[in-house]
Amino acid sequence: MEPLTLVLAWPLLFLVFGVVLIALGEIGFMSFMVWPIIIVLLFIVFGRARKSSGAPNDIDKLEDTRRWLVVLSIAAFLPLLMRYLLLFSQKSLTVIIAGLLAGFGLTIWAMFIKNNQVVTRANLIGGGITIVYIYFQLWNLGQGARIIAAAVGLIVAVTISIIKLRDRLT
Amino acid sequence: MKNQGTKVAFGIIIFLFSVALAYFTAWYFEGQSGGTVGRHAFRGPFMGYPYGQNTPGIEAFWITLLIFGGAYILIGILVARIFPVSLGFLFSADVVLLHALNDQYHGLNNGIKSLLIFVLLIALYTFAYLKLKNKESVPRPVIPGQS
Repeated sequence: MEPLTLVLAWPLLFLVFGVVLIALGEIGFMSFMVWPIIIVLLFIVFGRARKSSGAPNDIDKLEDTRRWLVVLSIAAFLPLLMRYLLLFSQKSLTVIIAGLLAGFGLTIWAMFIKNNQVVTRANLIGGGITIVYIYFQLWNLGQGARIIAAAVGLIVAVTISIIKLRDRLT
Repeated sequence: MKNQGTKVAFGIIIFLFSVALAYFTAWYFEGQSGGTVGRHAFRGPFMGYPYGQNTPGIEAFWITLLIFGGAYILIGILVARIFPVSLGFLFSADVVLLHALNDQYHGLNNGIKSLLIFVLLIALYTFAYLKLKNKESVPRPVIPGQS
């Protein structure tokens, strides 16, 4: 099973990242984001390789590349999934609220994950972009929706702050 | 090092030949179905073909490519222990499938796109949880008598 996993990992990652680039390329102005994402990924991988102590070997570089491919893929897919769900449901309020809760849920999940930096980073970046995207959609729904969105954000932020910073407050 | 180089070279050769075989066969069947051979390989607005436009033989072209993509994935899995062969076939399956997806993606229903991305997200999260946990730092050995 292990040789199969080793063999499938990289082609699958390339396939998934290719789907990310295709999906991003479809979105009007976002198609310009495709090349910066690739450049950022290269900087991250080779920049980290230079900064790491000792001589970074090829295995470490490959491992870093693999991790960041997964992080960027998840981070890109989350807002894309939300976009397609909104389009499919014709921007129904239910889906917008569910998307908002999902976005906040992902960022909260990221704060409580232990031992998995890949999922933490992916959820923080992806969840953050998803929240921003949903807020842009809510903006068009009128004053009431904006007030609700701001209130939800405030409640979540305060709750997380209390949980995470409780030790430092007392 | 020489052995590694040989493996990489063979992998690249297998990749190139398998991609060539897939596209040559697809163009053949496109021509047999009444299409113009070779013109539709890289359709898109920049080549003068608006997305979604159906040209003669194009269905045969894409179906052939998809069949080859699936076959290459199967072969890649079956020969997983021979890395150069397996990776050569799997990467050529990537090329073929991504090309097909790039052409057809814009015509897909938003529900299907959502489903596709949802499935890929589940796969990525599963992979990240099972294979990409934080590396545990190896504790430095403590030598008695040294501070």
